[in-house]
Amino acid sequence: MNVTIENLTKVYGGKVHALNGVNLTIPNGMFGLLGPNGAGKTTLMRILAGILHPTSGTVRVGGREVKSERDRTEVKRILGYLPQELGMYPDLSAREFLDYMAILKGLDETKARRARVEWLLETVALKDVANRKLKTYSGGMKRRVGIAQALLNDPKLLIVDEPTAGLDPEERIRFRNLLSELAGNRTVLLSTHIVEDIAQTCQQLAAMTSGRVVFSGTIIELLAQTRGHVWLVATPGQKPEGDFTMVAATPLAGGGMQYRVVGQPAQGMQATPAEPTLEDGYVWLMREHRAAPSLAAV
Amino acid sequence: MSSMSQLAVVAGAFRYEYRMQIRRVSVWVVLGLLCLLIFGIWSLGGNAELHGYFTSGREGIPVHWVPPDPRSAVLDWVQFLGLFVPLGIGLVLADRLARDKRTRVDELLDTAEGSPSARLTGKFLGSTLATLTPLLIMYFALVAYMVQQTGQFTTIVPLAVAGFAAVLLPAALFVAGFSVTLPLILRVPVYQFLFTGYWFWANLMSPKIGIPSIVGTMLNAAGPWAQEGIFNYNWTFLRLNATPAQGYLSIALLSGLGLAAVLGMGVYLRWQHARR
Amino acid sequence: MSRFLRREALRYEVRVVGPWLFVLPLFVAVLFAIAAGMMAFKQAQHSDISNMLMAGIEGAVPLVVGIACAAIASREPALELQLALPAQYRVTVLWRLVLLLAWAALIEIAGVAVLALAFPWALHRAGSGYLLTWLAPLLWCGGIGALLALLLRNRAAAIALLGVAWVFELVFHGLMASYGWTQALDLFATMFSAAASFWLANRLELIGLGVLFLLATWFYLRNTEWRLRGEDA
Ligand SMILES: Nc1ncnc2c1ncn2[C@@H]1O[C@H](COP(=O)(O)OP(=O)(O)OP(=O)(O)O)[C@@H](O)[C@H]1O
Ligand SMILES: [Mg+2]
Repeated sequence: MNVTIENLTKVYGGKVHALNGVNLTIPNGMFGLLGPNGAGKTTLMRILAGILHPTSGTVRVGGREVKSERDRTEVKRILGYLPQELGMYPDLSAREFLDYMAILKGLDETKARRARVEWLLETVALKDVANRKLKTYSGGMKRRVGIAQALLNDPKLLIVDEPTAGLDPEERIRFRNLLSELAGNRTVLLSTHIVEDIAQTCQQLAAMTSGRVVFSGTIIELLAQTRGHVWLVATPGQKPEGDFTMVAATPLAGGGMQYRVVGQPAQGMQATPAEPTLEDGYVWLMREHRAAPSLAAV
Repeated sequence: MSSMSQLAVVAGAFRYEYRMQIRRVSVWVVLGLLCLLIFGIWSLGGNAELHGYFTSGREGIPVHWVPPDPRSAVLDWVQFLGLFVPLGIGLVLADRLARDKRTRVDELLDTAEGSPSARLTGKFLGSTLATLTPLLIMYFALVAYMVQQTGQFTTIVPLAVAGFAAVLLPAALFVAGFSVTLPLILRVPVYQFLFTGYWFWANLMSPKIGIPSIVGTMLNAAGPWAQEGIFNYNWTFLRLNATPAQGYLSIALLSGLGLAAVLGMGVYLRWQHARR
Repeated sequence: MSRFLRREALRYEVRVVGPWLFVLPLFVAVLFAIAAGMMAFKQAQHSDISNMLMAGIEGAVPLVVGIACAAIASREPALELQLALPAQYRVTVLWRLVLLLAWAALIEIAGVAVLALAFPWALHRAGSGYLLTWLAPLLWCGGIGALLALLLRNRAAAIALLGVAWVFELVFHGLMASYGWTQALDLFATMFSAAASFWLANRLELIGLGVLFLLATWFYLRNTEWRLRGEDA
């Protein structure tokens, strides 16, 4: 299930340009979406999920253009969506909630529906607490209900918006492994701020900032772009000079500090090139496109 | 905790709540439509009072000229607003704290310093005054019109200020005290239904209907005691023969009850907190 | 469409909306019935007792239904999930509104039946259409409650407007009956002007307006961008 996006723009209320001409091809498998706060990730995902209408541009899902309300409904039939802000009905239990969602997703055959719900409860390890009301669930448990809900209709296209935010490390690893297992025979679009999640699960990724896609390709391609811009700088203690973004500072065993920087350290600093990580690649992209004030300020 | 820092807590909660409430478009829309409605009712008689008019001269009574009476025009405006505006304010304010609870802002605030009573008081004053802001603007817009029409600044403006302070402000504090606090124990729509019914029953139901009610008591929050006692104005369907003292007493009573509801809820919250 | 009629789907919709919203009109109706019963026990005049019943049928139940409709139209904890479903969310909302209105209609029919059996004369003044007199304020209040809550994105504000309009009409019922254009909006025409010539026209106009409000709600529910902005708060 390929998703192709061409010249997609979204303007909120005639003022906020959330997407400015997005071009992107999302192939089968896991696809990661990175970008700072306000980059437009959620907006893009909402449009793909048929929740919002684009201001202009085209979206193709499986080669078919999504234009009318009917097209959107067709996409929704094969879609699983986990929103960033996951609201649920506090007074339903997980089992009831999934059953209700399954009815709304058109799983009409009662027995098959029940079986599906039980299987998913098992998959996300919530069987033991499935009869407790959702308002008693922790954040991580709610996320798991959320992903189970998204999988009810065995979607060909799975869109998950920052699913690992707020999860403890173990839970996060379990979660992303679950996602990669699922990606075998479907398209999974995953947005996150945690670069590590993408590094571990996605071959392909895109980075967005200010409503534009500034990189799209494989991790290897991104690392290749970044190579030559990552340095280790050792100093007796003071901060090194130059035009770069610092990504790490570690005290050295024999005194002094070692800084890891992305960019160009000043002439005369003791800098040795380093092998880039995905995080360095992200920092490099954001530096190049000068739209990550939170990082530039470091 | 010292009384000084309690005051700081009240002020902090006040500022936050005032800003939150004044930003809401819906508050302006509700108060705007309300004032428009009341203006419609007022204009049926008030404009004539302002300019003077000829009687219709029915059944043998000769037509005669009634001279302009800007005083009555102002007090009519106050009276009609007093009948409905507190109802609107009480209904709009009903979701203030309940919303905090839902969005979990309250947990954030619970960890902050200050007693629940101080915080509640600040929130109560902030949201009430914010809701009164659009009213004040529209209230004085009509007052300005009356001044412009008659040129009697000294008759109209002090009276209008006094009318606002004696009738609308205490009523607003009274209803707001309950609307801000009771939805913490009742569901908001349930409270709103009960409050609407209560407002009609306690303030607007003419004794002629024959259902026992508290319209004739000091708990009437629509302003008859202040109107009669202080401004010597004949209120719409009640004759209370109120003295000025009773007028002032009703102001104190209504404002006090509103504040008492807030402080009472503060005590209740602290008790509940201690039990947890 | 068939999914709506399944019993389990119905049960879920009621639970998602909140069963207490359905209890509320019943509670109010019972309250008025008890009040009327007490009046009968105290040997009050028949006209007073029937007025009390009519106040519940024509006044209180429609108000509480309007409040409930505002809640249904504006509250949706799982909005984004609903919007991403193949089942259209606005159909779901409309269905919830219909469920509540139908439930309220049952209550109202029971009320009118009691009134018609106990005091047949109290209704006959309004002609034979009297058995449906509750439909007009019910649809009007429900429709405007839902529509305002959507437009304002604020349930409390919507209910404030509804509540003020309701009390205003109750207090100025004489005024409402005396102008052509206000007659069309008179919610309490059976209580105060049952014998008036405009009664039937008034009922039909209110029903028409109520349906119009519900239609507008239906169209407005398409505006997902507006809803996604959350409450106006
Ligand atoms: N409903 C809305 N109305 C107006 N502006 C909006 C709306 N939703 C989002 N925006 C704006 O659009 C831009 C993109 O927002 P979006 O939520 O898509 O970013 P994001 O990449 O998901 O950010 P985050 O990482 O913080 O989730 C932001 O500037 C945001 O303020
Ligand atoms: Mg986002």
